[in-house]
Amino acid sequence: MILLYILFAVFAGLLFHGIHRKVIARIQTRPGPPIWQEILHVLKFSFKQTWIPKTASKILFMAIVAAVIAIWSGALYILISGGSLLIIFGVYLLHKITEHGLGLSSGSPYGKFGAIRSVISAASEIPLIASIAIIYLITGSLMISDITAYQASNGILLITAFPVAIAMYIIVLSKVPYSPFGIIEAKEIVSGNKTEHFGVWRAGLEVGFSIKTFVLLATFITLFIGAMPFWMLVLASLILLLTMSFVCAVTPMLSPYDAVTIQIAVIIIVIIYAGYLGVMG
Amino acid sequence: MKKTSIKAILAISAIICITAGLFALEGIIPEWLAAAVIVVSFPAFVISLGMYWKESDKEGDYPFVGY
Amino acid sequence: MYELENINIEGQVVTFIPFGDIVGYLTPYTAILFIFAAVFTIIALISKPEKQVDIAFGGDAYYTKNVSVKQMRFQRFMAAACGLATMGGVLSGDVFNFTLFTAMVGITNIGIVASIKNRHILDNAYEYGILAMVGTLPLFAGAAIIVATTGTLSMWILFTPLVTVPLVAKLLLVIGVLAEGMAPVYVAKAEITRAPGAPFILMVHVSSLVLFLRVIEIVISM
Repeated sequence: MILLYILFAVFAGLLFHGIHRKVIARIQTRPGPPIWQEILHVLKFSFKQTWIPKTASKILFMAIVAAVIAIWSGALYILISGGSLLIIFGVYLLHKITEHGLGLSSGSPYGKFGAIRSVISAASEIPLIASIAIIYLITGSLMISDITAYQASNGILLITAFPVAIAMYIIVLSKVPYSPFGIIEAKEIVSGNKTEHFGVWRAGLEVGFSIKTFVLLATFITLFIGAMPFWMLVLASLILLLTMSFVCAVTPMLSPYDAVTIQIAVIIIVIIYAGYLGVMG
Repeated sequence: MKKTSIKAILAISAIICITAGLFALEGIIPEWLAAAVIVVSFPAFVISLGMYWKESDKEGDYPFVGY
Repeated sequence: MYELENINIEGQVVTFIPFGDIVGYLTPYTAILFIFAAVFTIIALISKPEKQVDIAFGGDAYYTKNVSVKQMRFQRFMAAACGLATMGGVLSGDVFNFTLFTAMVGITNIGIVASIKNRHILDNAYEYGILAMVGTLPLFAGAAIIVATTGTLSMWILFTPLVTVPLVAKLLLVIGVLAEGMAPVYVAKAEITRAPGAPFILMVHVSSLVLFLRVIEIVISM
């Protein structure tokens, strides 16, 4: 079953990326690529001539691609089996490490700058995602199955814990392609940490990133709206992604400094909310 | 790496993935174990599939350092 | 058999390793962290450092930085020690052991950075050393307050609802880990761009983030 879920997540995630691009293009009055473009991309990358840069740290260069796919496949299993939210939080941070390693491994200056930006943004994204601790204060559990059960009886967390939902929304938003917070792949540093991973390596990364997009969107839906049949989960994830496409289409990419500042502003909101909960609760 | 060894990795990882999935479905091994096995072997499958498909390889080049 | 009382946070204990009355344990959550740290330690052990490409300003030329064998050996040793300390911190079932391993991660991180013979990088290694030293104060103060208020440092007892750990101790513990795990501090200094040795530098981030994840688990559970 888990294998089918992973394969589905790969294709659904790639299709999501394609729909995301299409919606952005239509908002910007461009025709845009067909929605299956990202699937074609992965196939195209798989058939290209591929080598490892002369200056790269070879084992790290290859292993990091496998690590990206592995951690998000694991996160998908945790999400589906209703495991601990803390593990998905952990995987998100491990993803930060792989992003960093991805950029460092090739020896390219652009990759290195992408890697550095990944850690700089980690300084603000980690406290953001740590706001799931507030969910523990509210529901008394970090098990995804318990959280959905809580929502079934006490109302959805999107309304009752709105500031935390904003924080998680920012987290998911900063991980979708063309995001205003996507400073690690800003065009002034070519492709950031992905610059030197081309051909088969890029195909592997895109597979990993598609699972990542699917898992993050589905986690948000499960966490703040509740349990639902799988097809509805996919549909709700798509609608969530469409809201993000609008944000991505109308906002420019922020500078690293601004991205971190905005994220810290959201963290302050969440901390005030936590204080309010502490006083009232 | 040679194409034959890539082919071997591709076949082995695919077989491991599918057997782990089937075993978990039949209840021979617990589901978390199957998930752990698949998490390890699925990336190997994806990368070796790409390496098997790829056009050709050559000695590594220097990274892109600007226009 | 040892079992966690509150399994709502990270699931039930998968395995435990008793050292006398100090019992280390792995839950699904910490097992993932442990495996991740182990994998990256092995990668640091077996992979050669990259040759960082740098642009010579004022011209079209670029050059690559080679890491000498002597420097690589030292960095690799420090990276391995850092990985072992991280795994120890993840495995630990005792707050004091956890703080000790965290302090050791801080020390080895300085070693990884300071092995590069470049004035700017050494300057930063020095500054980070001061930060890590200052960071041990809240770290051990947190552990001290925990033992003073509850009379124990064993997580098996601290994680039960019977024991309430003061909020200030939790905060001090988190601040201590943030100061010891240097990643965001070090990377923001821009001097990291001069430091070659990717698999070893990466261990700095692996250890910082994994220990941060561990301390979040400890703080939520307490």
